[in-house]
Amino acid sequence: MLEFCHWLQHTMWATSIRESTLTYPLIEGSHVLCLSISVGIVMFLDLRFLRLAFASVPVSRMMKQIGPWMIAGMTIMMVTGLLLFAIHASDAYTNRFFRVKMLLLVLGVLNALYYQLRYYPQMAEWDFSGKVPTGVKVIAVLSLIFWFGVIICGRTMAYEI
Amino acid sequence: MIAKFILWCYSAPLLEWFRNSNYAIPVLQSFHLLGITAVLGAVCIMSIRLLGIGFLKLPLSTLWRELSGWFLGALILTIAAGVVIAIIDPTRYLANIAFRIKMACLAAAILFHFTIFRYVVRRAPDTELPRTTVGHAALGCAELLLWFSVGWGGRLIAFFQ
Repeated sequence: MLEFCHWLQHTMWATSIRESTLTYPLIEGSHVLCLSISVGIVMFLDLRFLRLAFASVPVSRMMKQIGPWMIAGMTIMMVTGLLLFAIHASDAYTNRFFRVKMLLLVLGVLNALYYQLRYYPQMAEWDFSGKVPTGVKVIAVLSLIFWFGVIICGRTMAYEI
Repeated sequence: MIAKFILWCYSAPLLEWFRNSNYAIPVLQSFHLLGITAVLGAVCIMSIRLLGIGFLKLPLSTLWRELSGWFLGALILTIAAGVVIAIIDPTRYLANIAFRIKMACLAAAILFHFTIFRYVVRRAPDTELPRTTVGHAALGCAELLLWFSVGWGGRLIAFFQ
């Protein structure tokens, strides 16, 4: 795996992006600023689950409004993240904060999937009653922890590269 | 006066501790980035609604009511962390053109947000609205442009060292 990362980092296109004046800052800046339409939006959905924001808005309405933008934001994050990984593949692979970031990212996705499988099918019932199940609140807290952890590790890994 | 302040920054024991610590800067930058994520997340939601391309079932006044507290808290966190980061090594930032542009954009964004933007959005009726109006779309564009200019300015600081 390390040999593959080393090869990937030293391909012509990865090297040219890494040494570019415009392309690399553009990709890196997009990755960081698209946090706003990915984690930034997910954050407010989680706060809704915890009834700390948008308590008067039904969860189903929030999810329907936020969902497409969240998916678009996460997609941009994944694409720019993959490009950034390729540019610094072997450095990132050996970076402990990067590994923790990836673990938290996987946990964040699994957490969201668990919500979709376990609580989304009955959402109409508990949304109508206005009472958010305890399990959903736990998922929301974990979501905030995982995604904030991804951000913190992403910021800190730069100090080891 | 500025010279005296800069001298104080480099001689203050607490700031010296921050400068010599391995973890202080990454921790401060993490708080700064978490704050930025929440600020830009709120900006994106309100601006997307103003542009009429999303969140159409969430009235503007509801968005303002629900987001403004979180926006203000996140902005305070971001600025507080940013001030500490800057005064740890003030000459590095004051001499950086990207930092100066970022500060100018920040001042403009704050002024715009808490005057014109706040005035229009708070007075939007709490009923089903047309998709958007020319004025609202312009307001959303201006809000996005100003706040993302601050974000891009911050990203480009490292590239103008």
